[in-house]
Amino acid sequence: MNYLEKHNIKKQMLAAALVLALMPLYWMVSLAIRSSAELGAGGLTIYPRSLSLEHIQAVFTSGAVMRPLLNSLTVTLLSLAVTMASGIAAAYVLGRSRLKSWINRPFLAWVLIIRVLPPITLAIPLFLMFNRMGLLGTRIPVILSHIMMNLPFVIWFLIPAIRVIPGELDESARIDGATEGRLFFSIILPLILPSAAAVGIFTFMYSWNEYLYAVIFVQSPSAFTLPVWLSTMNSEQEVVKWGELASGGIVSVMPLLTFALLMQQYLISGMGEGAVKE
Amino acid sequence: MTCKQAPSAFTLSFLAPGLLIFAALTIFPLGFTLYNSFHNLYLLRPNDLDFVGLANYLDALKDPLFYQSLKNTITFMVFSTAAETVLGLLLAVYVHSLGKKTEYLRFLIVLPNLVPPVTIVLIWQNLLGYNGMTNRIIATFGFEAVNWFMNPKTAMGALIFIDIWQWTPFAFLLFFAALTSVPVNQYEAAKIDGAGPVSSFFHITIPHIQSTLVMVVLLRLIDSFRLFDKVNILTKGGPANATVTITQFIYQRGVGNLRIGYASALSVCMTLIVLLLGIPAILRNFRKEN
Amino acid sequence: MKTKSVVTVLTLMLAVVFSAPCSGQNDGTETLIVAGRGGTHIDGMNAVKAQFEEEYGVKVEILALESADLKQKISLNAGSKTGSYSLIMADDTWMPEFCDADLFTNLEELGVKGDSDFIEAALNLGKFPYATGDLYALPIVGNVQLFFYNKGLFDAQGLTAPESWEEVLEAATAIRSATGKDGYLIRGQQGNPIVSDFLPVLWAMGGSVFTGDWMANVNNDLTKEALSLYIDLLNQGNNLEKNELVEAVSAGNAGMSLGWPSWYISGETSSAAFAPIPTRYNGGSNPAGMIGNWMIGIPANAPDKELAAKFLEFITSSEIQKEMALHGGVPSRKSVYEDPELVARYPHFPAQMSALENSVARPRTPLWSDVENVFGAELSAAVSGLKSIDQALADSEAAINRIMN
Repeated sequence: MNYLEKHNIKKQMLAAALVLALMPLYWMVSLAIRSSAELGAGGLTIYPRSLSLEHIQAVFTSGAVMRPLLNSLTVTLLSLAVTMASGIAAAYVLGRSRLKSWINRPFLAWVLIIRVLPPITLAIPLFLMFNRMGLLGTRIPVILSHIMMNLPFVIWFLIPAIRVIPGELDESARIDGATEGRLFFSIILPLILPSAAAVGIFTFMYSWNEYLYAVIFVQSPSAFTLPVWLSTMNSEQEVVKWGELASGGIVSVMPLLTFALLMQQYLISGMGEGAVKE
Repeated sequence: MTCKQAPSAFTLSFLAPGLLIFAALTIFPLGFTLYNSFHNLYLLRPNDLDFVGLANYLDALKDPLFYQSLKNTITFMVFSTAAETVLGLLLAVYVHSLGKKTEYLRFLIVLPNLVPPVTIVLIWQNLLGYNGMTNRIIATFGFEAVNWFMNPKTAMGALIFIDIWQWTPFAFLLFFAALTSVPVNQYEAAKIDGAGPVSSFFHITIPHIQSTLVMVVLLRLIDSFRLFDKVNILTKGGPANATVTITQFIYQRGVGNLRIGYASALSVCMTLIVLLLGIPAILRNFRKEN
Repeated sequence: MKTKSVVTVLTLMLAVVFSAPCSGQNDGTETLIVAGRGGTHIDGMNAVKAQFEEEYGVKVEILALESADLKQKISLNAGSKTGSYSLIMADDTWMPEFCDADLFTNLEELGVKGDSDFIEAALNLGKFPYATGDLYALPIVGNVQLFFYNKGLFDAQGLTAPESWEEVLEAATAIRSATGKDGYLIRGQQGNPIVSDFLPVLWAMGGSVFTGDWMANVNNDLTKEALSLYIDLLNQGNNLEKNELVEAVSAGNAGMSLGWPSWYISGETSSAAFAPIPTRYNGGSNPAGMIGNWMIGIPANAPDKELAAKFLEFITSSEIQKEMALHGGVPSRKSVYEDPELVARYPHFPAQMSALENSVARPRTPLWSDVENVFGAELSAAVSGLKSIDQALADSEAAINRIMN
């Protein structure tokens, strides 16, 4: 009996936590579907008193959201591809300690430090650098900075996943006459794929929501990413466009949701195999 | 382990992209920052570059805001990381104990972490504002409304709360993944031996997920160290500098006031602090390898 | 199965990315980008830009940014050889800093003139040096701070718009004690808000941030008295962020506050009435209506200056300003304020124009944004009770002098 009671209390606490977790999300949706008149009048009630699709329409019909959405997709996917490819490769070499330790160790240490440094310390010099190279009108600076930002994370996350693969596997493959390339592509890579998928999701997410680099490197609205575009709806001097802000947020979260839902299985199993079992 | 002779062409080709990216995008910029920190670089007049020696550093060390921002950042790091880790772990253990059919529950729990930070921060501004929903709910219980973002006693707490809301799901996800790898039969064996749930949590669960625990704590410490968007949108560092953080401070001096030289000196100080704090972790990493 | 769907979604995403036109503007027409400050005037600009687009066969894209973001974007853009923006809006307090750094194009070189229809106080802000030098930007939003009050609450207490700061405090106390609602709201967010909100009080008493030779002038009895009055006002009310402040005064949850006209124009249901900021205190009287115009100019690295100049003349012209005023824009020209049709619609226009004509500009120094930083932090510490008034002002004085030297 006592146990059951406890169980119920736990369930109630979980329910309370869920309400707390989902309340702001409900609020976002509710702001998006209220009419401008209701939003402007203030004193909002928990349940919307009006229902209107004007904000969601406004976000789409003026075409405003499409350009940042495409920019974000471009930036995120391109940087994801480069980050994953170079990250997996570097993690393999470092994880298998294929280098003399005087190279291996500083490299690993450096990877760690870059992950720890606040991005602002790199953002300012990178801005000056990209400016001199005349790259600021393009999306390249944002893509490059996202690669730089996520690469340490990928390497850091994958090294343990590579280290748990027994070294005997490599040995026997070599004895069978496999080349280095074959060994990696047909033995190691398939084994670390779930972990790579898991870290890929986080990389996608970090890049998708990244704001600091994007806001410093992008001046032209034709290259705005979603977070930068969303921030333009917060105009402190005038009344915030709550409806459009919330609608924009909903649109922005959709691709991430799709991605996360599809990959949920990998997420759990990938992390189970990788970083977790160091 | 295997080949400690000269690295093969294969090894080099695998390492090259990463090495190149790091050299171009981290080592060079940090060198550039170091150079700028000894000059009075002002963004709008990049050609009037005078060598000023250590002046920027002395200014930084004399600036009380520098220490204040360090203190605020550390407060934020400690409280948000601790709360996120504990709550995420409790939640993960409980949800894991519910059995197999928890996909939807897990999905709901993770949702807050997916919404773009800029949007969610503004939604919280709406909810926690003086006339916002939170204060109206508080009022129905007979408490007085709190001016969350304008009161120096509550502003930092409000930011920490939002961070906990946003990132506990992340900790939950990592812990949940770790829990799935704990062998079930160990719990059964412990039960037979008469161990209660608390005892098996500390003797079986914790040791198994130790590395995840370390990872969650480290990741959250690192990410909360760079706190910026919440501060920049909600409080601008106020009230009375109660929420100025390192990133916001450097951003304000560098990008807001365009004093690149001064901001660079601050950046170098930050890098040094990170190095000092990071050295134990790095040394540990080295020892493990040997 | 799972793998397949993941691959499909990824492929679809990639296909979308690569099939889309690269930057969304490859249709050959030139695009004129205006980096602007978000607000009702942007709605006005968007409403009128079609005329210009048609006449010149270009596209006009107007960015509506938050104030600090706008400054950051303009400054970062200034470093490029050819910038992204054809025109930029700037807060009038940024003008000395930007002009000092040659960020703007001298408008006289492009043949753009500030005619005498512009209100002089507004036009002066665009000249460098202030009021006497060449013209670098034109005023597009003729904002001047006003005193806002809730008519319902005032009428219920038998109060009228106050003319002195003693009356403001009395009114706030009366409203507070009779209704329990907030009497006076300060906008005390650290940085620009609290400085803009406090300076009119200081000015009305005859104070100023600087002495004639740019030394700090805040560690004195006058400033202490002003800050102490400001805190007394806060004690009869609250310290709110701007959105909430506008809502509270409009909805009758608070008695009064200072504010910019465009906040209240945009909320059409608003029941806030307004008056010039009180100028009297302790028998004396000093101008206290803070001017806070948004200027528009052409960056030195603008891609097509001739065309930008055409747009500048277009958007600041009398006819266009009138149209923008109908969308909630705040004019900077006399002929627009005096337009009978507009006056019929906005009866407060004559009062607003006279407030603008008698307005006070914030100190004209390139270092103002740094000063605002430190002064804002000290004021914030004082109103939140973390520092005593004496301490906060002594620290302000020291910090401002450090910046000015």
